[in-house]
Amino acid sequence: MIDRRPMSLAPLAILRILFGSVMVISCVRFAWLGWIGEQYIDPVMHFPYAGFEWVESLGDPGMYLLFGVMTLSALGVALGAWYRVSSIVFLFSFTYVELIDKTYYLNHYYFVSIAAFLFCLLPAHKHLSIDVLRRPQMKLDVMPRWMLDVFKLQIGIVYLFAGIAKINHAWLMDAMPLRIWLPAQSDLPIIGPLMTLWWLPWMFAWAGMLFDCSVPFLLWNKRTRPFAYAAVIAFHVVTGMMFQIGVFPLVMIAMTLVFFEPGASNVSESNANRVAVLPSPLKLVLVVHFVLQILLPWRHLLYPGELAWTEDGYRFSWRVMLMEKAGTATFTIWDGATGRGGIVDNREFLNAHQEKQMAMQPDMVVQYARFLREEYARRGVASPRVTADVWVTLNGAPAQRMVDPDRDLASDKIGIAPSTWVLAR
Amino acid sequence: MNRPVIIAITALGLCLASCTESGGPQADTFNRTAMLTQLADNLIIPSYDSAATASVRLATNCESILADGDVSSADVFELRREFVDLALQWQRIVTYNFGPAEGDLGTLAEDAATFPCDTAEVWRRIAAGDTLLRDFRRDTRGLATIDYLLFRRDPAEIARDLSDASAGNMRAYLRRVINRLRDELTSAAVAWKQSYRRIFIDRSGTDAGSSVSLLLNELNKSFELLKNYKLGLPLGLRAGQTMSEPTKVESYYSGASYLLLGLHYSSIREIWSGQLRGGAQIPSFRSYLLTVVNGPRLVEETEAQFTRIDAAYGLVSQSVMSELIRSNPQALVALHTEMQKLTRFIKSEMSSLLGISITYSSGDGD
Repeated sequence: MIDRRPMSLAPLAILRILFGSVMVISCVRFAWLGWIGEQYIDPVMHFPYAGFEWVESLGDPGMYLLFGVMTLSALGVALGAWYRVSSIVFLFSFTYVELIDKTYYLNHYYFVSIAAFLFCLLPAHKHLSIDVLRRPQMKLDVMPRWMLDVFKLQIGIVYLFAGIAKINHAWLMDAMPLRIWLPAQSDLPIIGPLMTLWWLPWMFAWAGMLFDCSVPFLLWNKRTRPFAYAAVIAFHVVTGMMFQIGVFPLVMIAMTLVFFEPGASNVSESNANRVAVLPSPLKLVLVVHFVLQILLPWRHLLYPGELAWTEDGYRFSWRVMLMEKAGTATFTIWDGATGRGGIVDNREFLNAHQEKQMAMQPDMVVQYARFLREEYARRGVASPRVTADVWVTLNGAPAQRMVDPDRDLASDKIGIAPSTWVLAR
Repeated sequence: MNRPVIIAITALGLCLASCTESGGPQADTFNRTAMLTQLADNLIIPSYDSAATASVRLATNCESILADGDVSSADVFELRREFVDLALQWQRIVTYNFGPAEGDLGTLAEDAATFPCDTAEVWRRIAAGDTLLRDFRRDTRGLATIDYLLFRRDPAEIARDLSDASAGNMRAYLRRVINRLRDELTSAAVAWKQSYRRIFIDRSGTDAGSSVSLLLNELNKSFELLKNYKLGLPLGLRAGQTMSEPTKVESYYSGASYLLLGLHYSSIREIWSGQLRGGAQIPSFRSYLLTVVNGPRLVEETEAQFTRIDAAYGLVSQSVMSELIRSNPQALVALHTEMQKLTRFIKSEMSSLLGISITYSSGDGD
């Protein structure tokens, strides 16, 4: 399984250049769209991950500086300049931003953090880099094959779990949520008119599932590789046109190039003695990482209730574009002394995106309730209780109440324990 | 895996799918461009025109009445009537708070219709002769300020105040507030006709920033404004309030609050249903919903809730709203409860079924 045969280090270096470049584009785009302010400075509150409450927005100008550092470090990764520092700074700055607010969680951000982590461990800067120009003696031409294989394995895990997650009744039999999403795309150029064909959602659902489940193997196999890569491009271009998924298609199209490696024959005898090595502790880190990667997507099986409703174990599992879920959440603050209840205007505290995400995700509903308790206690409400009437629609079905409207949600806690406050389970 | 296998599995999937499918194939496709065109031409632009016309009438009359320096009670009655007409027309455009309604000091709804009026600050500005109105103190201008200046006392007293030789500053302030409102409404009406109509119709997608997305978003904001601020705030139903605050109704001094509230509500319903006041039926969210999966069910539920709101509205006695809040608020609280129940239908469920993106940020899990 672990391929120790030597190969040129160039493909790893090229992958590093691709990754760093796409990250520079991604950072600049994020800033250009005004999202630093909109997502991380303007909001009154954020939704940190359990255990990461200490990760806070750095405000203005802190967030701009952080993005500046992130962009520079991504550039450092691309150029292979001061790579050890650059790659570690990029990993931590990027991940820090992602940890500030989970309403912005995206599987592709998670993938970026993982890829950045892998690049930190590997000697991807010892070829085609500024560092080699600075210190020619560090240059290496050869590495063991597995150093490239770790990326293939990681990408394979992403696709495979995304495919496995699609094997369910709603996706395959009801073609949900594609039956909602496709007709809404009828104004797309060229393919727009096709989007309203009644059978198209089923075709997309099955093709999507089969693509995700099989593409890691088709990419691995030399004979099918060109066709599989063509399919990767087609798949990501189409989904990129249809859905607002930002740079994700570009990231995947670039990173999947890793499967196109040269054969072993191009490694000459002369430099085969200078082979890249990874210290044993770091090898162990890699092994632990992949064990976790294979186990984490299954953790939802340990929780009671329906995953789509509780979302216990939903994130970090490559469940990509799987359901159409939306909610309306109305919070009431009850004065402990007078018993008087008052309704909260969510827009006072949340931006539209945060409100949309919060209103359908059980852990965020509780986090918001806890924030509101603090906020209104500060404003003079005596020992406030916080209840919420939350109506959530899943895949176009009539909305259901997600939580008990009489429950004091501010006394619930989020963490790894099951979301027991969820009614529809 | 080779191609024949993929085709075979896909075919099998299709076969299974068509056996289990409940709703039948989607027969119809909805023409969003046609919907936007009709909304612009038959609802939005005429509504802006009516509001602009009402504002021009008020402004012109105000100019001529104030010009001769001798204001009678009849003049005040005339101005009041025209003001209430404008406030009513306003309810029919308050929802279109995008495009031409976006100004450098905030949106039109913020600039023209923030309430209640800060009367102390208005008097301070009148005393100082400050008629600039170029700041973010929107509670010193717009409809609420005109409401205060025209209705704060008896018509005879208002007439006397406005005729007083020493009241030049007050006359100037009133004139300036009214003229500014006229300018804002007329330029928005003109912008809709000249340029924005085309933009509105062309953005026929469902992505964030598309006209359908904007309209749906603003429809919900408008409904929240109605429910939370025009009704909930004076009733004391907002979080942190310890009692009702009857003076915080819209147009407190004129006493037309409940009428305005009703018209605001019916204008929201008009946009949703496409059933125009004049009787004509145009495509809108209702007919759009009827063409999507599970849409007919949502239309039925939404209409049932509209009917319950109508009934609750009718049960409120037609007296002055602020007095009703003081004496007998139960029927108004019941109306608020029914309105609250409508939210999820027009907010999350409608946008979900129509597949409309509300924000630019990427959605859940990519």
